[in-house]
Formats: sequence, structure tokens, C-alpha cells
Amino acid sequence: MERVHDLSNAESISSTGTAVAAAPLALEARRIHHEYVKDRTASTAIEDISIEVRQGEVVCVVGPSGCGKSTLLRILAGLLTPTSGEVLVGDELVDGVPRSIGVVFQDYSRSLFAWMTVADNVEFVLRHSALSKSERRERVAESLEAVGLASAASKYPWELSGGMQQRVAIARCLAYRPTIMLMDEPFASVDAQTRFELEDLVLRVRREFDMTILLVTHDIDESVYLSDRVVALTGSPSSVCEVFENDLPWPRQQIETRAQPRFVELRAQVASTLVKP
Amino acid sequence: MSSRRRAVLGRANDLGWQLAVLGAFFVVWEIVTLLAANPYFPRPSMIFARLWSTWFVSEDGLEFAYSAETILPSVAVSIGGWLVAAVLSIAVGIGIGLSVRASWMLLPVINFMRSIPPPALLPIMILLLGFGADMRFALVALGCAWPILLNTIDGVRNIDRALLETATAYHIPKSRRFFRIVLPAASPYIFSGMRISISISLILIVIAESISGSEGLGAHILTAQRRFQILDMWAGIAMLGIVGYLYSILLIIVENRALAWHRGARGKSA
Repeated sequence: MERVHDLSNAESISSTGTAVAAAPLALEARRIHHEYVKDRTASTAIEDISIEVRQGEVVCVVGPSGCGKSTLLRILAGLLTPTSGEVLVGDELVDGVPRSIGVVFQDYSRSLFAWMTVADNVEFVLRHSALSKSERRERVAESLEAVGLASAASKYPWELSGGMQQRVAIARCLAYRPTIMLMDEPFASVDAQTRFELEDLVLRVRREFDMTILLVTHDIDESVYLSDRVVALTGSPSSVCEVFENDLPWPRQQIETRAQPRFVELRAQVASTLVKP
Repeated sequence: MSSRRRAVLGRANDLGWQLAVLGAFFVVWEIVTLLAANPYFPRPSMIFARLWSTWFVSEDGLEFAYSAETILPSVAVSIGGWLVAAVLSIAVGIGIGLSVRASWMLLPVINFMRSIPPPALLPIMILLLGFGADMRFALVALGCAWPILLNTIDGVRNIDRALLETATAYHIPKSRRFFRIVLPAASPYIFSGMRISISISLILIVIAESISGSEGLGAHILTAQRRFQILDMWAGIAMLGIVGYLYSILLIIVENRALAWHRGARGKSA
């Protein structure tokens, strides 16, 4: 069980910044504009958003509530077709959910299947893949191990705490072996202590699996702690307000990194974009 | 005292109370009928004695043959019709429930069909199929189908969109979705519909047998009534009650096993 203050849990990549800047584009959103019709009136959810995510990066998208962050994430995942604009994954236009994308939803209780055990939930996304039964079992065990839930394999989701359920969702995504992970406010429904542990889990996932991660959050601190870049959105209808390059050193540590002056500075900069009218 | 022991004693206490109330009910019934001395309302002790000797043990020995002759046809046709209705209704219901268009187009019609009291369909069934067991089977199936169909559609439409979106996000093929997501997710509603229908099945079988008067418990009851064998009539009614009760218990056992996850998930408030 990870402890928040345990330094051995810390990130150990160095100079990730320069390595990532030269990497190819993993995910690109061009001029996304999205409208929807409700009660026979058209509303604009997203005005104009363009985002670039390079391979191996962690990009955090922050914005005020209701600005369309979740809609944006679903468009990026291919679950929703935008009114105009394109999403490219590795140079290919997205039409439907690309195989290389894995999604972790905000509400774990509504995305895990209550009638399946934890292990079955994780294995469920592997069934149609080319793996044999024993290979699947191995993959499941490996994924649960990676999130620290090896002992919970035969439990049911509702027997676990919120943080553990979200870990199951993350394990399931890992087992799926995407190259890009999209996370929709994954830690919003989780208590602060658990949130720190899960944030470090995300960083560990990026390191161990060489994952590209785009994480939508309303938590400014989280966005600065986790990211290589922070994309701040305006209120609804949303556009990109500002993009902040995050030059905080790796490895990140919950206590030390958050105490650094640069962290406080970045945090204030991001926060100021959200407070603006 | 260990918690386990306390739990067992607690259950025994509840059971004790239930039996006590049941016993009191019978005692009151016995006393009232004794005092009323109405030939049409015999004492329960006599009713159950007759029930026992008719279907279980008489002076001639075990009454398996008679039980088989009378109870088995009723049970077989009612359960059989109910099961056939369930399989068809669930399959069709899932298909309709998954399609938004099909749902709003067909629901008014289905609701109308469901509103027709199944016994009213008896004359049509007799015209079409005569008085035999296949008529009774069809009537039971028809009567049981609508509640299950409606509940299945309801259950499917109430499936959390998030579950289906997760399935889309992870490229779960349609066939797997049907059995591993849609069916389990809708199963609480489906079981509800099946519980309603199983009561209907018993009602219909009794009515159908009363009209066609050949074999089965319903026939036994009506024949006894016509011959003014009041005690036999009551014994038949009591036996029917026992059969219905056994249906419920059976269904509850199956439902508890199938829906254990649902109780657990509901019990935990996020």
C-alpha cells in the first residue's frame, strides 16, 4: 500500500521535458467546434479548441465547471462526433473510438460492471483480443498488480472503496494496452488522501508503460502536479484560454513539488485564467 | 455470545413469530368455522386432513398416482407456458428496449395488450385451439408474456448509459454486450416481471381448467364444487395455495442467487 509521504514512491524520470518535446504527435485536435440541441434550441458547448499531445506526455486540461471538458474528452475519444473540426490519432482521422485509445471515466461506479468480479471486469475488455486464456489471466494479474489491487481480484466492485474502484477502472484500461489514455476527472469523486496516491499512480503508469496521457480535471493543483503541459479552457462555450508549459522538475513528489515556488507560481497562473470572466 | 450465534437466534426468533402468527390465523379460522357451522365453510383442520388424504397419504397408501394426475398437468402447463413466455418476451424485449424508435412506436400497443385481462382471451383461445392442453398452454404463455415484455423493455431502457458507453469505448462486440451487459443490467426488472407473471400463470391455468374441466387442480376444484363435495373443493383450493406458494419460494431462491450482486451494489451507497 503506497503511502503519500513515501519518497521511494517518487517519479524517477529525469529530463522528461526535453525528451518529450521532440516526440511525434500522439493525439491532435484541430479546431473542434461542437453544438448540441436541447429543447429545440441550439447551444454551443465548445467554441474552438485545438490541442496537441505528444507521445509520452501528460497533458492536463482544466476549465471551470460546465465548460464542456467532458464533452471535449468524449470527442477526443471518438465517442462523440464534433459538429466541426477533426481529431487525429497518430496522423489518422478519428472515426469512432480508435483502438489505441483507452478511457477512464469519472464515475467508476457507473463504468464498472456490478455483476462481475474485479478480475472479470478487467478481463472483459480482453475477451475479443488475440490472447489465449492463460495470456489473458496473466495480463489481468499484471494490471491489478500494477495498481496495487492483486488481492482484490475476486471481490465485487461495490465491495471496494471509491479509490479502489477507480484503480480497477485504471487497471482495466491498462490491460487493454492503449497507447493513449484519456481520463475524465478520474479523481473527482475520491477523497484527498486517495487522490494523491492515484495521482502518483498515473505518473507511475506513464513511466512504466510509456503511456501518453490526457487528463481532464477541475483541480488546478492536480493539473500542475501531473502535467508536462496545462491547457486552460475558458468558460462555456469553451476555447483554449492559455497553454502553460510545465517546467517543474521530474521526479515529482507530493510534498516537495507542491512546496516549490515555481509550483505556486504556475498554480496561480492557471488559477487566474479560471477566475477571469 | 458470538455474533453468529446471535444471528441464528435472531432468525429463529423471527421464524418463531411468523409461525406463531400463522398458527393464530388457523386457530381463529378453526374457531370461526366451528361456531358458524356453515356447510359451505368447513373447518380448516378437516380441509387439510382431506388435502393430506387426497394427495399425500390415504388409507390406500401413498397417493402419488393421484397427485401426478391432478397436480402435474397444472404445474407442467403453467410453468411451461410461463417459461416459454419468458424466453420469448426477454429476447424481444431486449431488442425493442435497445432501439429508441422501436420503443416509442411499440409501447402503446404493448401496454394496450397488457391491459386486456388474460381471462378475457379465453373465448378466442377456445375458438382457435379447442379445449385441450395446448389451448391452456397458449393461454398461459400469452397472459404471461406482456408483463415480462414490458418489464424487460423498461429494464433495458433504464440501463445506465455510462455502461454502454464503456462498452463502446472498449470495443466490446455487440453479441457480448447482449449477454454480458444488457441482460445482467436489466435482470432486476426482468425478474420483477417474471414474478408478476408466475401469479398470472396460476390464475390462468385454474380458469382454463375450470372451463375445459378435464385434468388438473382447477378441474378438480370445479368438479368438486359441481358435485357439492365442498370439502374436496376447499382441499383443492388449499392445495392450489400451496402450489402457488412453492412457485414463489422457488422463484425467490433463483432470484436471490442471480441478483446477489444487485443487493450488494444497492446496499452500498457510494
